[in-house]
Amino acid sequence: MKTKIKEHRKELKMTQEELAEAVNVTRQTIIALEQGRYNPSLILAYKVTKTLKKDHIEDIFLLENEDLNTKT
Amino acid sequence: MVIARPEWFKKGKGTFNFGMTWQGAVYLLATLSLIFIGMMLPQNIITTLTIGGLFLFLIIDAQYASLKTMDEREHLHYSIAMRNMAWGMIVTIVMVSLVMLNFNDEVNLGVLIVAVGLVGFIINVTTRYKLEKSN
Repeated sequence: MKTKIKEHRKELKMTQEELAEAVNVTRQTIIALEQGRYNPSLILAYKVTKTLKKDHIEDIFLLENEDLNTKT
Repeated sequence: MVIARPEWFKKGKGTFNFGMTWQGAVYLLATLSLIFIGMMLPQNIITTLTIGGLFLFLIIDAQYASLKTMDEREHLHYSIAMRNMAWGMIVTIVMVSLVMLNFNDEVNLGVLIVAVGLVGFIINVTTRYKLEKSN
């Protein structure tokens, strides 16, 4: 899953550490999210979206075709 | 969590951080020292059960406290690592027992415990490392 976390985080002049603390996860999880290596839960996606001052989850998390084909 | 506290097992920064504070280290050392205390006490069923039960209780308590400090991604890694470790340990118990029974006609419990522990540790570390790299 592609994300725009890095761009929006930089806009808000926030570090990975600060974002991690705000959403109560480790910095490694933020790194994994930014690199699109980890698909977060709906709650985490919502928390990140709100912390980055966006209204919709899809402003931050972009679903790709391969995500739609992934077995859940 | 009855005795152990999640903050004792919180991951910190730095090379020399082992994922626990000094309180966590003291707790684990005290728990592990139960094994040696058990060895020194007169061997009977009551001592074995008491020490064994206390040891398991403290280890599970620490494990539970440490789980509370993990986020959802770490929980996922932990669960997968534990599943792989359990399978690896089951296979090792069967294999090592069969080999020992074939050569000695009896199972050396000490060797079995060390082998199973070692295999479990290696599988756990390898799984976590691979998962950390991939997601």
